[in-house]
Amino acid sequence: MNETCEQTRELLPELALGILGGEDRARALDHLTGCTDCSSELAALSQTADGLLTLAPQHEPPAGFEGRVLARLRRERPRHRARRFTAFAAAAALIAFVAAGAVWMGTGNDRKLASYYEAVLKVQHGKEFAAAALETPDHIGGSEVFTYDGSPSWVFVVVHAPLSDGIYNIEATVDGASVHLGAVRVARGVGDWGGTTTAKMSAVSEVRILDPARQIVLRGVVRHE
Amino acid sequence: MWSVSDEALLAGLASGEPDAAVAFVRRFQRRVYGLAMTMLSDSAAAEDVAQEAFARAWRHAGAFDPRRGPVATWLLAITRNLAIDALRMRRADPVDPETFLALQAPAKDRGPEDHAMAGDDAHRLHAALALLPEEQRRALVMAAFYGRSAREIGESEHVPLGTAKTRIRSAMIKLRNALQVEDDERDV
Repeated sequence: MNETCEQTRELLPELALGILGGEDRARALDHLTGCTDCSSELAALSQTADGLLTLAPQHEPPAGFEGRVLARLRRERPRHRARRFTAFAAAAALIAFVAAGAVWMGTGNDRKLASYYEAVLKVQHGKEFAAAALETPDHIGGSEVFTYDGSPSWVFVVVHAPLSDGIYNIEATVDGASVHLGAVRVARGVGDWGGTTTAKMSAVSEVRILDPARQIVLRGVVRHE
Repeated sequence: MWSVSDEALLAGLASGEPDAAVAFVRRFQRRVYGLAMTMLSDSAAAEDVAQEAFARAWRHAGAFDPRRGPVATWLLAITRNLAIDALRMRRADPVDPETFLALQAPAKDRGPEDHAMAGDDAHRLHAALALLPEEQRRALVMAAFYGRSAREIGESEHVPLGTAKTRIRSAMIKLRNALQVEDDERDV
């Protein structure tokens, strides 16, 4: 830690709280662009500052609040309808949709699901987003994986399968090599996981979910258009 | 829908999924309204701020970056900023750090909808906050919730600027360390 680091460290708590202004702020930001140590210190302090907000007392809003908020969102909607939402939002919306429709999924209404994928792919301009069904070895479907190749790249997994409760590893075959992507917690047969990855999502050929004994419990082949 | 993560719900909100909007508002309304009410002590003003916070969250959901923190803290930061603006508009001298000194101890048994912070982290933060000397806690509350600068805190507390800065810094570092200890233990 050099002299500039020491000077910057003095300013970081106020920067994290968003109350640092003027020259001090400019000086701190200038140093931070080139110093990973100070940047991670700022990240820790920012997390602390944000955490404080979650300790504020909770309060039941007045009667009818929910209805008034929703009415307001409905009124404002047309203006924003055409907005192109991000890859993350698209993938996560799909998860929300799939999770909400888990029962409906079970009935295997493939055509409806396909048209929904198509809509999402259109939003993403069809190139970098891929979705695949994950099946158990005895071909029970209902679980899905979504990948997005971009910066950053994303992976989302939705599990809806007769698995026992526990943590399952998620692996993918990327350019022929096995890559660990993350882990999904399954409870009562359902679970979801999503996150960024440095693995090249456009080169994913298969996604596997493994139990703690490393047996493959779900597998899906990812096809790229 | 209730088992969906906060992030997925936010994205559903952004996409105009009506169910997602309902679930999103239900999940966060007590927090959002609670923060606004605590800062403004006025139910009509708090509702205005809370409504606007949800509207902004909805408009800017696409810009949310999950790597920077959980949805709840993002939404609460929006709420806080709107409440600060509302306070400035009415030009009252509103800052009553005492209101926040009884900051909620997180419930031991938290529902699945509560992903704001890992339960342990919230407990540690709350415990560390309770251990701060009162003047440091007051300075921190004025900065974190009311966006008061070190200079403003110095003026309202009748202490020199350097003292106000030291109070803020000492408080933040103690709380940061309380969270850090937890992380270090996890890494071992």
